[in-house]
Order: sequence, then C-alpha cells, then structure tokens
Amino acid sequence: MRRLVFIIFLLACFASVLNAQNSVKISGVVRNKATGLFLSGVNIHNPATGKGTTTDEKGAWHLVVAKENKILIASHVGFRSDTINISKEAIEIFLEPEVKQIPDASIVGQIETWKVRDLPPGQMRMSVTEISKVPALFGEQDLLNSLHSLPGVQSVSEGSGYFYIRGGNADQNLILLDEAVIYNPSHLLGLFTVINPSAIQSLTLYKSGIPANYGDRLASVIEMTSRDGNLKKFTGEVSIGLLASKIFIEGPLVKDKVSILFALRRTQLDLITPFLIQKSSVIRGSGYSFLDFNGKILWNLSDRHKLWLTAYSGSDDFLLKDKEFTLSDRISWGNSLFSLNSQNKLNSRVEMRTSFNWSGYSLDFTQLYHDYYIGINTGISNFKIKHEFLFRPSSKHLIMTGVELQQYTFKPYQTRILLGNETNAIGDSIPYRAREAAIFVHYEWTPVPAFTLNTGIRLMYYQQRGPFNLLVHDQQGFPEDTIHYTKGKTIADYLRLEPRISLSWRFHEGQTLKISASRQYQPIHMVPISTTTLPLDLWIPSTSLVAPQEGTTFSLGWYPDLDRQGLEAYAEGFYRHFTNQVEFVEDQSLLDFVKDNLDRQLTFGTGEAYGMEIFIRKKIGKTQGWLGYTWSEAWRTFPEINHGKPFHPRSDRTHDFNLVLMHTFNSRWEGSLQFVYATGQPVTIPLSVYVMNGTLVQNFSERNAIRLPAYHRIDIAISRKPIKTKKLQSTWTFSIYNLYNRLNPFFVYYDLQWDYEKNLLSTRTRQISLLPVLPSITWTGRF
Amino acid sequence: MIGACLLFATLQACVSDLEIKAPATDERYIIEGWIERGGFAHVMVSRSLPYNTTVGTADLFDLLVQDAQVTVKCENQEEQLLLVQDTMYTILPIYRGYQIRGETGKAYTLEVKIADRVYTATDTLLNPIPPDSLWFSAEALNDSLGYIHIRLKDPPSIGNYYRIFTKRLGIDIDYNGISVGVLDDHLFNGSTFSFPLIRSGPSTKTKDKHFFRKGQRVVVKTAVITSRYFYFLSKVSNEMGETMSPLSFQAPTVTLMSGGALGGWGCYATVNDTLEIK
Repeated sequence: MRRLVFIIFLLACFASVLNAQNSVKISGVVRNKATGLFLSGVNIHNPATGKGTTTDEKGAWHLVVAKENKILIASHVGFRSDTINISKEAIEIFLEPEVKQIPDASIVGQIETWKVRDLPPGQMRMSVTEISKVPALFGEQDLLNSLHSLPGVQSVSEGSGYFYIRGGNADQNLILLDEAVIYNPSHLLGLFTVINPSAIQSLTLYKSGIPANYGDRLASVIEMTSRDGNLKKFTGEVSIGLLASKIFIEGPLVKDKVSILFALRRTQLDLITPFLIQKSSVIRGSGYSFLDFNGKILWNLSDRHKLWLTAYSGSDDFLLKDKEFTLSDRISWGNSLFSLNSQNKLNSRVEMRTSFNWSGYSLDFTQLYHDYYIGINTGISNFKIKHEFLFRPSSKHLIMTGVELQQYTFKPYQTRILLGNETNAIGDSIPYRAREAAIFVHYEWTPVPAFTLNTGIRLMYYQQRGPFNLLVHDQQGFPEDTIHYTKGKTIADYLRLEPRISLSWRFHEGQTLKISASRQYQPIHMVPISTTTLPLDLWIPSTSLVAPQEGTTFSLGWYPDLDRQGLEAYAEGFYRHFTNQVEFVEDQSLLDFVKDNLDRQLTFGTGEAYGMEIFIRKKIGKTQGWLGYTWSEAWRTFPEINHGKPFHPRSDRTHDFNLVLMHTFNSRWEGSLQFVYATGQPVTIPLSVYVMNGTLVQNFSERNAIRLPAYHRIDIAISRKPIKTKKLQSTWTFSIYNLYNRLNPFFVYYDLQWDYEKNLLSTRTRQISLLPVLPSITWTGRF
Repeated sequence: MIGACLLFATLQACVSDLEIKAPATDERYIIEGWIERGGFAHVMVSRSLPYNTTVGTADLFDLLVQDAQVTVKCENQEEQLLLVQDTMYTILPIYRGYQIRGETGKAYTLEVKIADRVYTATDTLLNPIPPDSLWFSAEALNDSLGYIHIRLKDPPSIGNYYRIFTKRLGIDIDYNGISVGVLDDHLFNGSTFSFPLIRSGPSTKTKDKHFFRKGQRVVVKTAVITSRYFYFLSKVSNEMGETMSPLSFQAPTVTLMSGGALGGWGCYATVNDTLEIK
C-alpha cells in the first residue's frame, strides 16, 4: 500500500510539472435537436490531440484541451456529427437526428458511442442502441443481462438474473434507477431482468474506482438513467414477442416543458399455460406471470432547472399445484420504487442535484397442504434523501460533495401457520429498523489533458434502532429471556470511513494507465438460502452480531490507443479482499430461522478475489462488436463452514469468454452473434451414499469442491429494419438462442431410487437444462 | 397457437444425467444404533457406497460389516451385542442386545471396534411424553384414504424433541418414520400442538402413497429424544431431502460417532398407541 501511495505521489508531482502547459477545461451538455432531450454516450473528440470524452447520462461532458486546439467534433449514432469551434468554456451542443435512411457508406467509419479509455478507471457504459443489437432470449432485449457480455461480470448459471462482479457476491452490487435501489433484478427465475429497456436511456457500470457519492455496496454500482419523455411530440412503441409483450408511449404534456413516459410489459405465459397442461395432469392449475410498469414525468423548469419523477413497479407470481400431494405452493415477489429528482445549475460553475426516493422489495411464499397453511413473508424497504453539490472552481478542478440519509425497514422472515381455525404468527414478528447517514467529498483534478486524479472520501454512520425484541440465551443456547428495545433506541451502531483514489494517465502517445484503490463498507446483507435462482434470499441489517461488510479493491489497467485500427482495447487486473462476509451456518433448515433472532443463525468469514480482464472492441465498419475475456479466482473462508477450509463461491469462474459480433448487411437488414464460454460452476455434490434408518443418505463433498461442465452457447439474431419515412415503423427480429442446443445445467439434483419390487437401489446425479435451442420472432412497431 | 406450441416445446425442462469429474472417495464405516425404553440395543454397521451406482438388495449384504465388536455400556453394566437376523427391524443382519434394557434417566454408551479402530458415542434415555390424542381425517377426493393426526401436549420448559413412527399392522415389517422426521418444541413450547402424519415407506398401491386407509390398524410410536440426537437426525433428514429440493443446504455429513465413522447412537423414550381407522 505504501508503494502504491508513493507511486501516486510521484505521478502527481510529474503531472504538476506538465501543468506548465497552457490548457483549458471545456464543459457543456449535448441535446437532441428534435426533442430537446439530453443525449448520453455522445463522443466529443479533439481531432488535433486525439483526446476525447463521452457525455454522461445527463448529457454532460468536460474535456481539458490545449488553448491552441479550438476544434471539437461531436458524434453519435443516428445523429449528424457537429464540428464546434470553441469560443467559451461552457458549450451547449444540439445534434440533429439523421432523418434519411443511413446509407451503407455512412455507417462505415462512424465512431459509436463512448471510448472506454476516456472513462474513469473501472467504468463501463452501454447504450440502449448497443444492447438492442445483442441477440436476446425470445427476442426480448434485456438491459441488465447484457452486462454479462462484459469482462468481469459473471452470472451463476443458466438464466441467472443476479450479477457477480469481480469475485463479489450478488448483494454487493448497487443497482440504481434514477438513484433508487432495485433489490431483486430478476423476473422469471432470472431469465429476464425487471427493467423494461424501452424506458432506459443509458447504463453505467462501475467495477472499481467507484466515486464517493455511491456507497453501501462493495463490488459495483450499476446505474441506470431513465429515458426522458419526448418534449416535442407523442411517439410510441408496441412489441409482441413469444414470451412477453410491451407498450411504450412518450410525449409532451406541455410542449418543450413537460413530458410524460409510460411503459408496460407483461408475459402472456399464464394465458397460454392452461391450454398446455393436460386436464389429467397432477400439476393442472400451475402457472407463472409477471408484469412491470415504468413511468416518468419530466418538467424542464428552465434551461438550468429540471425536475422529474420516476416510478417503477413489478410483480412476479408463480403457482405450483400438485394434486397428488393436495399441495399448492405460491411465490409472489416484486420491486417498487419512486424517485423525485431535481437538477439545478446555479451558474456555469455550480450545480445541485437532489433526490428523494423510496424502494421496496417483498416476497410472499405460501403453502397449502391438506388442512394446513404456512405463509412466509420477507422484504426490505428504504427511504433515501440524497443531496449533491458540484463545484467547478476552474477548468482543472471539480469538487462534488453531498449528504445521504437513509431509513431501512427489514422483514427478514415472518411466518404464519394456520392449523384448523387457529393462526399462529412465528418468527421475527417485529421488523428490523436501521438508519444510515453518509457525507462524501469527491475531488477531480485534471492539471493537464493527459492526467486526471480522482480522490474521494465517504464517512458512513449506521444505526440499528428499536423497536426490537432481542432474545437472551442460556448456557445451552436456548432463549430464556427477551430484552425489548423501545422505538428509536439504538441497538447497535457503526462509524466507517471509506477512502477512494484513482488516476488516469496518458503516459505515452496513445498509452493510458489507470489505477484505482478504494475501501468500502456495506451495512446491509443478502444471505442466500436458495441453491437456484428462486428469489428466496433474505435481506438482513447489520446488528450487534453482524458488522458491516468491508471490501478493499485495487485495479491497474493499460489502455492502448488503437483508433487508427478502428479498435479499442484494455487489459486490467484487479485484487479484492472482503471481511465480515455473511452466510447461514451449515445444514440449516428453513424452520430453524424462526426459532431465534435471525442474526444468531449466521456465521462470518473473509473473501478474496483476483483476476485479469481483456477487452477488445471494434467500433468501425459493417462488422462491429467486442471480445471480453476474464481470468479470475475467488475464495471464501469461514471458520464454521467447510471445516474452516477455503472454498470457491458459486460465482467463481476461472475462465469467462464473450464474443459479440454485429453486422450490417444493408440499410434494412442487420445480424448479430454472441458466443459465451465459462468454466463450470463450483457445486457441492454427494460423493457417496449410505443406508441409515432404512433410507439412503448422501455424503456430500466439501463446499463447492466439484465443477459442473463448462457453460457455453451461441445465439444469433437477424433484424429487418423499418423504412423510416412510414408512420408505423415495423421491425421484425428473428433470433435463435443456444444455436447448437447445448444443455447447460440450470439446476443439479440427486436422484435416489429404491425399487422395492425389484429390490434395486440406484443413485445418480442429474441436471435440468432450462434453455435448449430456442427460436423466436418478435415484432416491434414504432409510431 | 403455433407460437404457443413452440413456446411450450422449448420451455420444457430437459433432464439428463450429469457427467462430472468427481474424486474417488474413501470408504466410510456407517454406524446406526439405538435403544428404546424397555427394549434392547440394536446396531447396524455397514460401509458407504460410491455415488452414481445401482445395486440390488442382495448386494447390501456385502456392505454389512459382520466382524465388528459391538458393546453397549450403562453404569456398571456392559454387554457385547450379537449379530442376528431380527426381522422385527430389518431383513439384514443386525447387532442386538439381550441383557441391558432401556431405562428412563440412564446414559448408554455404544462402542464399536472394527479392526484396530474404535468408534464411540453416548446418549441418555429421557422421560416419555405420550400423545394427547390421535385421529383420522379422510381426503376430500377419496374418503377411504387420509392422514392420521396427532396432538401433543408439550411440557412448559423449552427443549423437548420428538420423533414419531408408524406401522400398519399386518402390512409393514418395520416402523417407518413420518415425513416430518423429527421435530422440536421451539415453535409450540408449552402448548398443545397438532399436525398430520404423512406416511413414508413402501406402498403396495400407488394411490396409497403418503396415506393411511380406512380399515387399517396403525401403531403410532411417539419417542422423546435428546437435543444432540435430534440435531443429528435432523441433519440426516435434511440430507435425505436434498434430492430435488432447490432450497437445500448441502453440507458435509454430521456424525455423532467419535473416531471417524459416520452415524449416530440414540435413546428413544417411546410410547406406543394403536389407532383403528374406521
């Protein structure tokens, strides 16, 4: 660590020497000339130096240029490029959409969206345009699942909706939509993520070097910015696919002032299922459905002031009936959020952003068996106020400071049992409550165009508060008494300091070095209880027994300039260390949870992850795409799990390879291909079996000691684009998921059979593959 | 409709055998022993089988360890068990005692010697708790089939552990554990609590699976066990259930035997009641 600080100090001194050059920092915003909306992902390029940047999700950009270089070029797919002569330090650029069909020749040579080397360390961006070209399951474009094609992002198994980034756990990713948290990102056992891509403007992923204005998670931030409604005219989109259909409408309530956006998506699986299950089937009556809604109202108070309200609500409902057992299981889950945001530019140097938001996630599991009913509810919600203040005192300095206040309510596990006419509520009937306050300062220093230093610090104070009933235990561990904490009484509290530093240095012509180091804390925890992607994971707070998770991350990346070859690339290494990791103690059953305070069922350990990522992207020509490869290892060590021996988490993948290719045949036809390969998931499986009490009992391996076969598949898609002069623009997309029908395991189970008639005993390990070759067709109409 | 058929065809889960490279495992000795109130000790000693295999019942004889020296100790008494064919419990040979009977309040130690290795465990026989009542309720779809329900009146102090078995007279050779396996009183301490007994074990008729039938006479054996033995049995029960359950916690097997063998030794404070289903 001392060496790293020393190197950074040397680089800072070196940069100060370079500061003698005359440079100026230019900033501004880019808007769509037709709609007036901010444009993200616009490439701002200085042709004299080759230096460039891209606009953020709010259309903003800044760039340090030498004073003698007065020309900038702004370009974006679907818009005419604009050349700007710099006359002042703050510039507003309006890009005009291409209204004609794009001739083949104009696509060739066009630079698309962001340049990865111009982004801060550890940051990646994807635009909706890019995501729409990646082949998708059932033709249903999926914003978050598209992230799996980027290096450093792993999914656990077939159709997993969770993310595992650089060896972190699923709960260590902060997923935000307009500053509000999304706790469970998956629909349909993880096959889809919950956010309708039609309602999203851009997506930014921070894998390391996370700015100080984000906290509460160790591994990453996935920030989604909702799309602004069209301020000029009403437009819309209808999409009908095999699995889900959606409608999207946007337009002005007051022209150029107030816009509204509305998106609704629903699966039709539940409508089809009754016709597909035979009347004699024991599972007749089973089904699944999901529904989600995105809405946004934007009010442009003036050129400098903007106010918007974002809303999201989604729900999933899964019903399994088994007549043989007279059993009926129902799992319903969903996220909701509201976020009121304002952005106020007081002058060219000062900006304020404020967000009031609420997020909630809940899950209900009910089981009706004969005359007995059991219901389990788990959930989390939080209310957050965040205020940020941005100050650019000169072209070389940016200071961002702010405060964040949050209030959490956790319902980790509440159970109702109905026996005859009597209902019993058991488990932790009083919700856990917690508060969190954080102040942060982020400082960005760009003394010369070739050097940027980002530093930040975040101070977090966390409190678990009453009301709460804390069970006290005797020497044998049985609950013998209860301490009642009254409303507002502090039960446990933690104060944590989170320093962050990163730098980007173009040390040689076209060679950029990026370094980052950070320490972060996470006061809330999702503890997995499910071996599949069923959403049965519990969110719990830090308590007197559960300390906040701690994570330290280092990354070092090399970004060569391959613009002349029409490529961009990077190689980046990372190292992570985690402490206070949380798991349930081994061999728990669900009923064990309700017998005591939940935090007494937990055990704590450490984690470590390291790896190397390589990314090559071709952005020019008829054929574009990217290749990502990650080599990594992740380990967890818990004294009370696996006899204290280190083990791989389920997300560990030694090799992870992704290839995405997109080809434009002509003005109407586009095609794409995606190839995915990953080392098999580590699992715990039985290695032997024995007979006890007349029944077969399995003797399991050490935790995650065995690897499943490697995961791989190819997806292809071809789209017929509309003629843009028509009022209704129809796009047809034909896609094939898992082209060569690779049976990747979704879920592994162990089949024990004792045939009493033949006196034969058999044991075998089996897999369920959820997604074989899946052809699909989707029609999308835009108006 | 074509789309729907396509959807259904493609959404069906594909099940196949999983080919994985698993390391060869060491053979382990399995010891399963118990003593009931008023009864004699019974102990089975066997070896584990590798996974992904098919064997006939006859092959199970080869897994039995028939040259073990099995001893039960209680206070100053000590008895070496004999290997016998006791069809009351199993068709397989079993080590059985004839002198030391299970008595309430006493601690019993099992010692198994195989070759030069010794494996031991100790457990205590607690006070029995008889059920408050037993009754039968018929299924809605077939009123000749149904469940036996049991009502337990749990003592006021927390920390009581139960295991319940059933045996259909004239049908079952042995007692079968119910599907619930074992239960403790953390959820119903000191209260009266009832629940259905879901029958496990073999069925001659498919539709009898999980049910009892009118006209049957069923012995319900209610046993009180120690917390240590409860913990062991519940973990074994979890591992039995971890075949298809996506909610399973897969963990290395627990054992009560010292010395490296898998298995357990428990004392059952039993009460037998017979219910004639009419």
